[in-house]
Amino acid sequence: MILAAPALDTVTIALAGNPNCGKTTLFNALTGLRQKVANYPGVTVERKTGRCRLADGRTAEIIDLPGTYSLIATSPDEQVAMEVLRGLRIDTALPQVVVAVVDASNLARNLYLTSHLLGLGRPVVVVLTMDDIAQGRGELIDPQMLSLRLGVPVVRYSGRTGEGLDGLRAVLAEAAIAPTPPLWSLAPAMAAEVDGLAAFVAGDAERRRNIALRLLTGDQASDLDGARQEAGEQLVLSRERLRGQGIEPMEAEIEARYVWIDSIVAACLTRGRPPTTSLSERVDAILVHKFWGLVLFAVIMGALFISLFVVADPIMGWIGDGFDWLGAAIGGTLAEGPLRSLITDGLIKGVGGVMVFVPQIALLFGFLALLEDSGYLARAAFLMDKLLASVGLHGRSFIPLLSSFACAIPGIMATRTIASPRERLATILVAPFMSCAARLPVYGLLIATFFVNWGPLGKAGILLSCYLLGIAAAAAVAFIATRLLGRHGQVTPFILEMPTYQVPQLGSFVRAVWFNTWAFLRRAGTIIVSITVLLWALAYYPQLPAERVEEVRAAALVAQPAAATEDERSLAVDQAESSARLAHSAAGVIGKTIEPVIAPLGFDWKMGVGLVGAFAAREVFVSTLGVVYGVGEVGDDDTSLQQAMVADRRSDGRPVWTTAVAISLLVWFVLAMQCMSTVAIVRRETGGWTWPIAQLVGMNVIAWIGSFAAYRIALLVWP
Amino acid sequence: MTGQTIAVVVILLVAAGYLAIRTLRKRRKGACGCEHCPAQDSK
Repeated sequence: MILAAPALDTVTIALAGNPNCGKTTLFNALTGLRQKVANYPGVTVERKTGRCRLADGRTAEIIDLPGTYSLIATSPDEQVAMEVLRGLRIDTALPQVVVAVVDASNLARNLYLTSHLLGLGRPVVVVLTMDDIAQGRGELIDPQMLSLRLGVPVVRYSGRTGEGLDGLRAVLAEAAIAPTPPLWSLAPAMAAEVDGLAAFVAGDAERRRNIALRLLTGDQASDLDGARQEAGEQLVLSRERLRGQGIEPMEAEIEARYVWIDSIVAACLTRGRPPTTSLSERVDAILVHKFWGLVLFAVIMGALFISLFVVADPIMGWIGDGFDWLGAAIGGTLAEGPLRSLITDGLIKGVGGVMVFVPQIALLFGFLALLEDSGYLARAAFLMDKLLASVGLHGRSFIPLLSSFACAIPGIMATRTIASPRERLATILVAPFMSCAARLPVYGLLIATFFVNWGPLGKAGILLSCYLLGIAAAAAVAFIATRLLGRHGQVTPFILEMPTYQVPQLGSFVRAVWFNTWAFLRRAGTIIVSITVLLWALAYYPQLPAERVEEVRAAALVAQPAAATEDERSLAVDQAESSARLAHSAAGVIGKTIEPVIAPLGFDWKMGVGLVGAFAAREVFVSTLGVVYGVGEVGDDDTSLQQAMVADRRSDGRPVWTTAVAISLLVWFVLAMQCMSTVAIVRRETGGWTWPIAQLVGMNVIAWIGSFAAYRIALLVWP
Repeated sequence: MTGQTIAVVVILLVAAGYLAIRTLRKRRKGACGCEHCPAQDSK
């Protein structure tokens, strides 16, 4: 069949392939974009589009699809791929050319999807990736022979060197011929039923046969709805007749395709040496070992957390000093007034307080990038399957939950790879318990301030405990939720393809660290700055009238004991003034209003202001404290936020901040649902308001109870 | 009104305007707005 070459200047090209075969690497190379790539399956869960120029000057719209093993979708992400390829989505044009990305190191399994793509009736170009891994195993593939047997162009492409990209651009420009659908021999009984059923379907002979086969094998795609009705009772009878002969139509079709595939592999693939145990397999013997695998996992995670303190601490100190210097320099040039307060207290103390955590963020993402690119994370998912299953989750929940350590939003979107709706919903509900990157500045500030003498190992231990508490809470909630949701639907087995180990590429590592650090900086420079500026205004206005200031100072002076020294009197009077100023401000009024709710957790109204701000973005808690203590400061602007927190006193002279309060706050931040973006994405992914609201209320109730319990227990240890 | 107060009012308006426009744009595009977000089309 020959299709007319697209007359338009733009051609739509879809990249389809098995999970983790290198589609997104190819997409990035073709379009110059930087979509997330990692060495594990299921990274792309939504179609992505970009543009590239073909060799003949035309523009191509490239669609990167989630990985799929066939065109019979079993999970929401596979559904996206299938619908785009069959032209069933209103928001995406039907691809004019399909690029079948084939992992050369798993040729037979990848050709199974290719066999489906060849039946779509559109031009197909096969791109062979990971040829270097196949060659390393002694497997040599003959692209010419493969092209001859498949009847479509075959291009080699190396994701590492970029070799083959120009050739692919040229081939794509010429791709206008739809291949003849591959002819595999079905079992005679099956072939007879296909022919019989085809008589009830409209269209030309080739289409009728194709549709009859899809109907018979149980394809539920919506483009078959009409044909399904046309076939009606005949479809049921055909299936029954086959089953009566012991033939399961779907299995018979898969078997027939594989006979065809095996013949192609035999013709195209030469084994230079007999297959031996690969390095990946030898390494896996240890890394996915029942006992040693878990020990190594704990060691790797421990190393990550310790490095967050040992490596990042000095750099964070320098950044903090830099902001202090900047504050002093700008403060020195401006006269006393609202602008000076906004810049030094609002922007520099507030936003600077968040920026200090850039090194920890960079390290966290750098470490994760190394684990991702090496292929280790897929092994970690395998290790966790049993643990996840014991709380009612699925092995496939691991990657979404792991992504949630960066941000719950991509994590919740990654649940689209989970086929069972019940397991998917449970994973969505618990994903925000994973400590996201936005919580790190809060943890960092509290740990650095109140566990100052604990050393890197102790600090790492507390940070690790925060992460573990989130995981434990997620496990407990998942355990209860999956039981409440009932065991509807079949339990889906966990089949995860183990990607081959690869040496992480420097470029991809640097990109991952840069992308995430830049995202954090951009967030700090836009949203956090804006919210902090508004919070500063709330903490600065309305101002306490001058006569009230004098009254407060006089009252504080009178209240001082006769034995107090001059310095002590001066400090107490200054503190009374700053407290009165803040209490009079709008932020003070808000904080005082919510204080009764949070007082049982050990929090005062200043923390309350921070907690309200944290609902816009969690990091705002740190910047709010910077603002609150900056605005409240009387006299020299030279105390750091940490010093100001430690020095703060309640009206009865007791410190506001104690170790018990810090622990209570840490528990609150681990367990509370404060991110409005997450609420929005849960609404979208669950298709209603019920679950996001239940999650918001439920998590915050759990957080309140958890913080209350933690505070009371901590008071016993640190009275 | 002093120069400092005028400058502060301008900065506050810019910050509030930025947040408002961002929220409206997010609502229209249906994207979550998170920098990590794969929900938004690349280009």
